[in-house]
Amino acid sequence: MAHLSEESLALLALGEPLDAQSQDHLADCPDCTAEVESLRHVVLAGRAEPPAPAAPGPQVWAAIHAGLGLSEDVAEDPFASPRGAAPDGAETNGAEKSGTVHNSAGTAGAGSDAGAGAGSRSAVVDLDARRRRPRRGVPYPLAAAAAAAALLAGAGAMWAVQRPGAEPAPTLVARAELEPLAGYTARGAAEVDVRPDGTRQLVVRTDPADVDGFKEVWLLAPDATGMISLGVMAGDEAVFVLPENVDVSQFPVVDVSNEPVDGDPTHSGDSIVRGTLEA
Amino acid sequence: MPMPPPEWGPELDTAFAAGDEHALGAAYRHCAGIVRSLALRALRDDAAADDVVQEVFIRAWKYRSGYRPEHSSAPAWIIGITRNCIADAARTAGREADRRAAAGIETDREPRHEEADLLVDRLVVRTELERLGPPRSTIMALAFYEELTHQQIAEHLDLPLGTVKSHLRRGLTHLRTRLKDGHGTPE
Repeated sequence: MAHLSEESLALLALGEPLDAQSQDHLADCPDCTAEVESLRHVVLAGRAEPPAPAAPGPQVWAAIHAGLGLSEDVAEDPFASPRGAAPDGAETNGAEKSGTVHNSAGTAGAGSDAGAGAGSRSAVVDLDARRRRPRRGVPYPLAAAAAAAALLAGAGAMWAVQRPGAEPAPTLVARAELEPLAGYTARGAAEVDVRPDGTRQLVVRTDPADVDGFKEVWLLAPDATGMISLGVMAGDEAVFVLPENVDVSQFPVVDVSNEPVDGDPTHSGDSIVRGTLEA
Repeated sequence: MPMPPPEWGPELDTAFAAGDEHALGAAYRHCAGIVRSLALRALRDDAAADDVVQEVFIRAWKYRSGYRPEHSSAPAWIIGITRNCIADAARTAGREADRRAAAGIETDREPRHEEADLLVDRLVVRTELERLGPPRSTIMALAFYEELTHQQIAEHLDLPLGTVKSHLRRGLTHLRTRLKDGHGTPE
């Protein structure tokens, strides 16, 4: 038989059982075996639970703290904090810690953020909520997205005072740098323009990307609890007219996904580039 | 038992880059032990290993403007700095080590290559996995830590089987690339 598919090799590396025919092939095929072993190394590293290495003594943090002139706030040896003391507490620990950082970085955006999160849910964005374990959450800085949402609310006010027809050319009101997500290198940019007739358009450009499906453009809520599909993107530049009732401040994240041709209308979860619109 | 989620996530990368001192503390808690074990393995001296830890975190904070959250996690970046600091410390200590070797002084500590390497690989895989972003990070976490099969994941997340398999394959090969990038494996 032919070599095993890449997907079968990945499943094997993760420890999933294989049908008899594939097992026979694997037993005879050094190439497939080597690939499984190589992937298996990654899986084992991720699953490993080696004994925690010994922490440096408290004098080391004290020296760093003094050397850098850090604030009193962080004077305590990070290893001494009660959050880190009990191994059993590690799970809540992670959530608590990142929560702390979020709060310290994103206090200003907290209100608008909660509002954006209340929208409708789709299969893709709901993933985190359905996970059995508590999770840290969003894949991009919530605080930044929330701040952008606040900025966009301001931009909305600006649109309101623009008289339709008064400007001959589209007016740029928000812009996003689109950064590649894992597995991709393409970058891009998106901008929201108000056209002379008062309608808004989203112009999306990306570098050529190696996609095995087709590209689809989405607007995401800052915490990814909701998303709007704007449509298919053919080529490397596309213009979408934004529906009048879409509030971009609630969906400020521009996302271009790689969609398999499988008839499934939801987001594949395979994003090529993503960025947050800022006024 | 499911494994606890890693304590490091992309939002800490951003906070670190933004100069949040709490993120530096979190980074220290997350990787100072690994930094120290790498230094100890190379230098075989407790005090020298502590000096490396101190130097690594001071450098990391001073030069954080050179850190790019979109390219790597802060812990992986800090491991990179660790390699430089260890090399510097080894050069400085070179004369002393030569003297000890000449005198036939045995150190009582055996280098523990496997453990330190495993710690680094684990750190890289786990922080990179978080950085994949949902749903791929979710799918990978369910496969890695909950050890669910692709059917169970598809059912659990209400996704097509093919989508899950494709994410698993791409996720795994991406993680392997990051390990090979040298963010993880010591040469």
